Amino acid sequence: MSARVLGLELRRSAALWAGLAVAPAALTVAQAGNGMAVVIGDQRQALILMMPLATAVGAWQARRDRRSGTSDLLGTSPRPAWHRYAHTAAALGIGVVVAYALILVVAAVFAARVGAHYPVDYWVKSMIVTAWLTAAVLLGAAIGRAISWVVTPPLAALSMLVGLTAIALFTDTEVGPGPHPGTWLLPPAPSYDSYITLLTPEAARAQLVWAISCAAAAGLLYVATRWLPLVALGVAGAGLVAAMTLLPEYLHQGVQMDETAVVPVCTPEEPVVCALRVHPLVLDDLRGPGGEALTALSERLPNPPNRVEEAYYSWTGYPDPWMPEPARDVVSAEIYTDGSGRLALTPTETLWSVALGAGTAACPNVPQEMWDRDATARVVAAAWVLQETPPEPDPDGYFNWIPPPNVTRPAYEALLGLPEDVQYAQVAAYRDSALACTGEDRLALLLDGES
Amino acid sequence: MVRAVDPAETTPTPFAWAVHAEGLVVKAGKRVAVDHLDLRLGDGIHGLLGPNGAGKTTLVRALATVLKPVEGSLEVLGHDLTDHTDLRPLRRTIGYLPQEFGFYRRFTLREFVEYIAWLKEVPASEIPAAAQRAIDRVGLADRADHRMKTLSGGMVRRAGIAQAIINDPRVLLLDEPTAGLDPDQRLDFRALLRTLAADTCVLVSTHLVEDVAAACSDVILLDEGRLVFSGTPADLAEAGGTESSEAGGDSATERGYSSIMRAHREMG
Repeated sequence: MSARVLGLELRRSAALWAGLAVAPAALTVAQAGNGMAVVIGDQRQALILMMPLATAVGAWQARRDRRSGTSDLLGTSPRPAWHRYAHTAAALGIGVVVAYALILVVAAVFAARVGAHYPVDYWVKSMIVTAWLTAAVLLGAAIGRAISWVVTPPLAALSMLVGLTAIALFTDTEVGPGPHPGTWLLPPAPSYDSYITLLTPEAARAQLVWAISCAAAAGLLYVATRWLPLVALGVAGAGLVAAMTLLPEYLHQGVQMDETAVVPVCTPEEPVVCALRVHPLVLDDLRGPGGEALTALSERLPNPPNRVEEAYYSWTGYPDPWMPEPARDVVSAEIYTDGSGRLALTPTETLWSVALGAGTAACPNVPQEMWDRDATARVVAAAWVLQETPPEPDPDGYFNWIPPPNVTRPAYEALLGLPEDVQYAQVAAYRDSALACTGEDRLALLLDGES
Repeated sequence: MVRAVDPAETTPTPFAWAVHAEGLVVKAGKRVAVDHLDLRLGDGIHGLLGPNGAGKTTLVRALATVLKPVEGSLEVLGHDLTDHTDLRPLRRTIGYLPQEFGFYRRFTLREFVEYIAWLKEVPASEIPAAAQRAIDRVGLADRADHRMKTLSGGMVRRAGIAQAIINDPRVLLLDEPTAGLDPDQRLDFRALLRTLAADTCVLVSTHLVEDVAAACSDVILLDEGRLVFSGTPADLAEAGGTESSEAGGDSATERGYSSIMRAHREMG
């Protein structure tokens, strides 16, 4: 490899444009407040856009000789053609990798400034994304060299976009034993991968092996003369076989909980509110409404909770979700964060989120036909604790799941119509049931005292 | 700048002619463009003349190893070009300016010439000096760091000549090298050719008869792929007779060219 020629290609080829192909990844920096796992996860999904762009740039670069009319001149040079292509391929690869690395560094700096979480496999996931980007730009170059038409770059990009979109739309990633674990080998990752999960070592190795072998095969296809296309196919095939043997038996077994991400970070003084390790900035926003809700709960409930913790759950433990154990003295509040890692709820929404279900988390095992009744019970219990009328549903906001007022308000008034000691007793019974997540009709328990 | 002489350059060559063709047939697509041509070229400047479609460019492309002969024999510096295997050593010793000189528009002149030097396997440590020397020789030193796309047509042609001589070739093939050059640049080009001629076989394909008369040691005339004339520029001029003769042309050489071509066509 000639450093002089490589430098020349970096300056004068489409290597810089290849770097711009990863621009969609820059948008994910806005998620840095939620930790690097979210950033990388979003970047993985952004491959649907980045890979077609990289393919187009590679195909454009590969048409340079045709565009420039240099085939006679370069075809009579003593140096084998693959030397030229290898330097161009290296420049394209470096363009993509450096641009993506810069974005990662910027995101990491933002994440570090807000104290967001850096799981170790942040590097592994980013290497997988890098390998896919490199594979895309080199595959584009191989296509552009083989089919040197003006329309090749846009057609190659469009084909890649359609292919990846179809994969995203039609791949079965439902939780459970159904989906094939090979889904992990597709560029956009299954949605199991979240801010509190890590790839298992097996799944990470399988994805890395497959993505790198695809990049190597695409590179060989681009520089190929004579027998090298067969070697490229061999490399891709060997990578696929190796990856398949590394994959877990079921799709959902490709991720595991990042137990360090869900460690609670709490305020040192009363009221005690806690956020997940990945969302340290939430504490400032949660303290006021969380404390107000704790006060209301302590005034209305026997054995009231004394702290609020950010809720979480993950299907990594299928068939049971991974979620905090219900505890009488802890409210597990379902809250949302924005890209900067701050609370995405208004103080009122936060207050209600803590008071929902009289300070209990939603149970994961509610049958679908009972969802509306369970939701109504949760809202009515919160309204009783806060002594406020149930809010109206907000299609675009946090309250989008709340049943309409003609359901919640009659139920709330029915509860208020009961004698006061009965109200206290039935709310306490409701709370016991919600903490135990037993399969009862909790709206009936709340309003009638029996399910 | 004084160039170091490689011992190989002073070693006696194992071949009599730099270019030697016998019964050479080369096709341009499906058309026979060079038709049973016999040719022997040694060191010096050889002008290749002929009308459009005479087979000049096809012959140059065959010598440059772009096209493979379909019949006859063709040797360049002792390498048999009827078999296109292991051309690498030969290609290191050839300089080639195609008729349609393609280049990378985003490269600077220096970058492009250095890139071609790398492709011609000039030792890495020698590339910067070799590129500077080639650029100086074509008079583009003040444009060395300009992008190729900003050069005028004449400058691009000179850049093409610079890349062709970057490896100090033993055989230099120039297809229409003076196209786009102004009169001063053509004079400079002829002077450059003379400096190369001592130890190089230079083949200049052109339709400008006066360039051949002024710069070449001998002339080859092709028509419809066949050799029509081979001799010195003086022989060509002599064939044209006097100004009052029937042959058209402003100079004796042009009249000689016209006269020979007309005679050949009348015979054919």
